[in-house]
Amino acid sequence: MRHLKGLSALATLSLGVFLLAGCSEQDEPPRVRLWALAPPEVTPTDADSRVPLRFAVALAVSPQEGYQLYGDLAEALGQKIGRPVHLILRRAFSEVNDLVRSREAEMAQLCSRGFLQGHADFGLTALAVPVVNRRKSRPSYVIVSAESEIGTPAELAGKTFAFADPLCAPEAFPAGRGGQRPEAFFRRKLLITGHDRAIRAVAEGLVDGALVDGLVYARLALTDPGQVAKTKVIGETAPYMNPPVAVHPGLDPTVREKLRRALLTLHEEQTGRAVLTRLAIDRFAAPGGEVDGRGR
Amino acid sequence: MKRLLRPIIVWALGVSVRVKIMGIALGLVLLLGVGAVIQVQGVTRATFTREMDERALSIARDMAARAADFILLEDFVALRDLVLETLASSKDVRYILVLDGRGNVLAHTFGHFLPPDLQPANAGNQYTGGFRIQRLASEEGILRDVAVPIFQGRAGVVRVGMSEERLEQTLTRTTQQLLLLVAAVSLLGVLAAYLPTVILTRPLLELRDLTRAVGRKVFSSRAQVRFGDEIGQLATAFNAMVENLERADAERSHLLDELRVKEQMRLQLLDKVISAQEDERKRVARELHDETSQSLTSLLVGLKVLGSVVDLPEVREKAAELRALGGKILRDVHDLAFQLRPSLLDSLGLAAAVQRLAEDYAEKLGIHIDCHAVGFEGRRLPPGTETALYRIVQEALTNVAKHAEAKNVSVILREGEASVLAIVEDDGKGFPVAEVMGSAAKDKRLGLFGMEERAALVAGKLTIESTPGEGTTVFVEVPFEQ
Repeated sequence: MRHLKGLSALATLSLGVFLLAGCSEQDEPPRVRLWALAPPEVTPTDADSRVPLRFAVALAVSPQEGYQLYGDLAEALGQKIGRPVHLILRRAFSEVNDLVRSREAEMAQLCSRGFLQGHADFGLTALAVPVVNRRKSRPSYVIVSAESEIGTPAELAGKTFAFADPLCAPEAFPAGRGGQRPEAFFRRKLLITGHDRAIRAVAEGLVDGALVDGLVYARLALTDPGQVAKTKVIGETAPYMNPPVAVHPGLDPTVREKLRRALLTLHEEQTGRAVLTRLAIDRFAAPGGEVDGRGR
Repeated sequence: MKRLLRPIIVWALGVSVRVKIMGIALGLVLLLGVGAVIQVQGVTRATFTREMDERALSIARDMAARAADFILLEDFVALRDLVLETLASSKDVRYILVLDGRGNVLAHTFGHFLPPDLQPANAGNQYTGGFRIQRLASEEGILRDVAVPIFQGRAGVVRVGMSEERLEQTLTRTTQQLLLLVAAVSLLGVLAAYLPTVILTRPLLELRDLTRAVGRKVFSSRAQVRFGDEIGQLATAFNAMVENLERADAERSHLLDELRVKEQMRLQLLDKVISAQEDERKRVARELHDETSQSLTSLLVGLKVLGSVVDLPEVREKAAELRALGGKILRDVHDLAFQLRPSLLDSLGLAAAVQRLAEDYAEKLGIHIDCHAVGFEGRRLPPGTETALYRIVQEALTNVAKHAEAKNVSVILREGEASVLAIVEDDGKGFPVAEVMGSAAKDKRLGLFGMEERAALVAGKLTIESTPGEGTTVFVEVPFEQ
């Protein structure tokens, strides 16, 4: 009888183990009704009832990089003007111009070519120009891999080449001085969105060379020196105006003045200086003659 | 519980061995099968779930990486295309939701509207290992909602809902197949268990039948010993037991036969004793009437005659005659009394009585009888033992007188420490002991049987050794207490 008891205990234990083995996750999960559809809920915005100032930026870098850089700038400006600044990122300067023209954005920063086009189209007005290395203009660089044997732009003939922003890029490539179009000069021409990505493409050997914005290159040398060290500059374009901060001509003069003052004095405060350092900008300066097209 | 289990256990222990063995085989197969099904279900579910989570995580991370730029650039058309394209190309994905940092829906796969419970489900800003998984119950079964932040959560969150429907279908299919397999294996198990069960139980059933036969006292059959296993050993032991029983039964029958014969002999002996007693009485009566009474009559007549005799010499002569007659009457009476019971046995003991008996027979038969008594030294045996030995010796000498035609007889009495031995040996014609003892002729063996009975009454043992032509020796040994 004792044996019988032992056997029944063993059988019960085995059965228990077997049953438990199949019993993980026995807690009751929350219920959802997949077949009962309704309009999505909208979460109300912050209690801040002040109308934000919309700041559109034509990106020379990837959206995430741009969000980090210009997000800080927008916040710093907002603090200075006492009004929230809402950042709007776009890839092409034409989109930014469209936003300003249609009054969907009050302020914009875009490449000099875009600015000139907006200035010509609807009187886009420059408020400030970044000063980088004490200059309001900079060239674009022709870069190749640091290990590459290519030493001059002319040696890129028949190679793969990347442009980060064809609309902002100079019309004539430095090597094409003989009037040769890039399509004919290079074996293959690529479009890579974002100058930072174009630099990485060269550093990682995906393309033989790239034409990149001088400002982005200088900033990346600060934030990611390892990446930049894998590349070398073998040529540069003629300098052209650093991307200005501009507003719609019809913007309330008070606001415009506030903005202008905020921009020109940003470097005077610690927070502003930190933001500018991350953007690799010395300071913002009042625009000069370059905004009329002379600084191209 | 015990009360419920007990009848089941009693019933289970009461079924035949074949049913037990096959039941054990079937039970084991079923237990293993059910265990395997449960285990496989558990393992499959865990593996499938883990693989599904990994796949959902991979999809969600890819979505998060690709959706970040669209969200930051507010390209919601591209975002919706990305969401729909991912849904179409991914297996087990029931839905995809993209929400901004505030929880507002930016894109989803439900069309215009959305399940209202889904948006707030799996909400929060805490991610373990860069993701968060929430099980959700729905009309379509269990869903696994995997949330992955976009651009460190600054651009929102991607949520991918994986349906466990395919898992459940796979599990159901696997379980059905396994159960079918278990059923097939159970059937095979029962069939496979049948043959060894028959092999194992056949000798047991044979043993059962043999046991019943032995119960009916049929000892002729023996169990077949096929192998040297426990059942073989049992059969060997059983056969040995049957042989012993058969031997004991034969012995018992033989003893019963002997007992029956002895009983018959005893009855005959009793009958003879009674008739002998009557004969003895008749003889005594005849002796008294014919001899003693006649002698006394003669004595009375003589005395009467003596009364009328006047001549003294004649009186003296008559008186001498009458005295001689009186002496004869006295001897006759004395002989008669001795024949009835030797007084020597009571007064002087066994040795003296036997000595006297031997002398009487020697005198009567005219043969030489040697009588030796050793070790008595004045001691007396129990009266029953003395009487029994005396009568046995008397019967032996009577047999010598009747049948042996012997010239010399030797009677030896020897008293030991705890027994007394009497030997009567003659050089007569002898007889075949076994033949005579086994003979149906009552009269031939009644005397011998009487001797045996007398010896047995005092716990003694009687042995007769005889060969035709070479005389006979009767040994009787009777134990006694000191």
